[in-house]
Amino acid sequence: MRTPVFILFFSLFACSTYGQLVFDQPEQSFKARPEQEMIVAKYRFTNAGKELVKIENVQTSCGCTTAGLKKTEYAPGESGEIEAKFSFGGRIGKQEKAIRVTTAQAREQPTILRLLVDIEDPIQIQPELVFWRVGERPNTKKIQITVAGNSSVKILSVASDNPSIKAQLSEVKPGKEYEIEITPTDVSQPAGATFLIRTDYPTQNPRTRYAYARVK
Amino acid sequence: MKSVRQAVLILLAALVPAGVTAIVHPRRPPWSEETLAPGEEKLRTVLSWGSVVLWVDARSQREYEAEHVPGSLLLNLEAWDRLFPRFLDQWSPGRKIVVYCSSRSCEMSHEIAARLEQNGISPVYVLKGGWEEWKAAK
Amino acid sequence: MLFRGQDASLFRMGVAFRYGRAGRFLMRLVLGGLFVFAGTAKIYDPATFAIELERYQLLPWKICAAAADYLPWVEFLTGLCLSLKSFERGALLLITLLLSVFTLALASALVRGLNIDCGCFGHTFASTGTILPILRNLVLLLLAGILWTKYR
Repeated sequence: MRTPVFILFFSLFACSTYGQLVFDQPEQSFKARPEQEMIVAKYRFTNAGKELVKIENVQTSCGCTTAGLKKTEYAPGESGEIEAKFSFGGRIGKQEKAIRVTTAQAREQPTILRLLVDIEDPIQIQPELVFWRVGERPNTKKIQITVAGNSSVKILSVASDNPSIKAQLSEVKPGKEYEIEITPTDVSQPAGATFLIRTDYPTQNPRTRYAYARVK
Repeated sequence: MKSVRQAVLILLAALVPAGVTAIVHPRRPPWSEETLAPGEEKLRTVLSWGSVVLWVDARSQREYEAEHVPGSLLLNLEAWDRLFPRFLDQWSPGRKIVVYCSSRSCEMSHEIAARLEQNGISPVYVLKGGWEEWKAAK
Repeated sequence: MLFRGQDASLFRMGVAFRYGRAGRFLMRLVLGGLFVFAGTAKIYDPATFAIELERYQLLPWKICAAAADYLPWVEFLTGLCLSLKSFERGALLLITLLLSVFTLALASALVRGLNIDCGCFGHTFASTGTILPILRNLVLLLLAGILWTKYR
């Protein structure tokens, strides 16, 4: 009875195979906060072929990601690791970076490793959109900005790109809660505005957030 | 073997409460048809609405550029800030929106639909079966 | 096991108490308890479980619906039997069977590239949302295997 259980155990390790290098986890996902500033992912691989494999090139899709390994030649059965470091550089949201690994033995078939990071944005804008129907009463609508978790964010300014739809910023709880009051002056025809919400977050590379107004 | 006999007994015993569940449980799954998860809609139904529908593609840029529902707008989380205003330009209040992602089992369409609804945009539907379903029908 | 959002760090316990009486008792309780817990969670909401089963695209809808009514109770009773040490052999057999079937379903989803728990970035590999449950089930299978040794 024991044997079938253990056969099942070993047969279910699904690894991916590209050429002769077999990577344990060619795609790795992470969740992070902007303050962490970077993520390091390790891609373990084994030379499952019968010949020596020489890694010629490890190329990343952008300058924000660096990838390195200790040596370039791997004998059959030998394992190694590619270490990829992705620096956030103030990015927020879902990021996807690719690392292309080319071997001398299989130049036309590079392996693509993927590094996925979801950089969670503590700034929540609710709703992102306020709208009025043409002819409706032009009453003021509000947008709430809340800062989640331990972070504290200062909203520096809110500017509207359309002077006929005004935005007024007020601080409800410094660093944690803000309110924007939006008032259209003319709802007799379709219009739109984008609000540029300037913040001091993240500190290395402060990002402008957006909200929108429409009259349709 | 003793273990098989015992296993069968347990399996039989479970039939009783299972039967009761199937008949009276308030959250029992419906029998007759494939069920639609909340917010989902079948392709047949959506096509019957015609050109009023605003199609939204929740997949990646790569997939969208390869092929997409004609007239659909790309709207995903990775490039939300760039794509959402474009969506808003096409949208008008009350217009039926149908979001799709790659297949029956992907979640992205639900996430995008939820975000649209949070912003006061409705009605928003998710295409059951996603892009796969569309392709199969064409 | 098709848990929804749970995590169990059983491996450490298994290593420490591998073959002792107390070890077996603990393993039985943990394995049985987990099945009771998992079964109960699904007994509350069979409709959602049926939809989740449908996502694996392995069975037609009617079978998913029937399985959603039936399987949770099998899990529950099996877990109960194992914890209470009644019908222990039958329970172990069923647990091994259930875990194997669930793990194969997960592996099949992985291989076919179904984005089931996806943070859908749109490519062929499923996210770690599928790999972790597979690994967890394998650990549980290991526990079941160890408990079997008593009956060899």
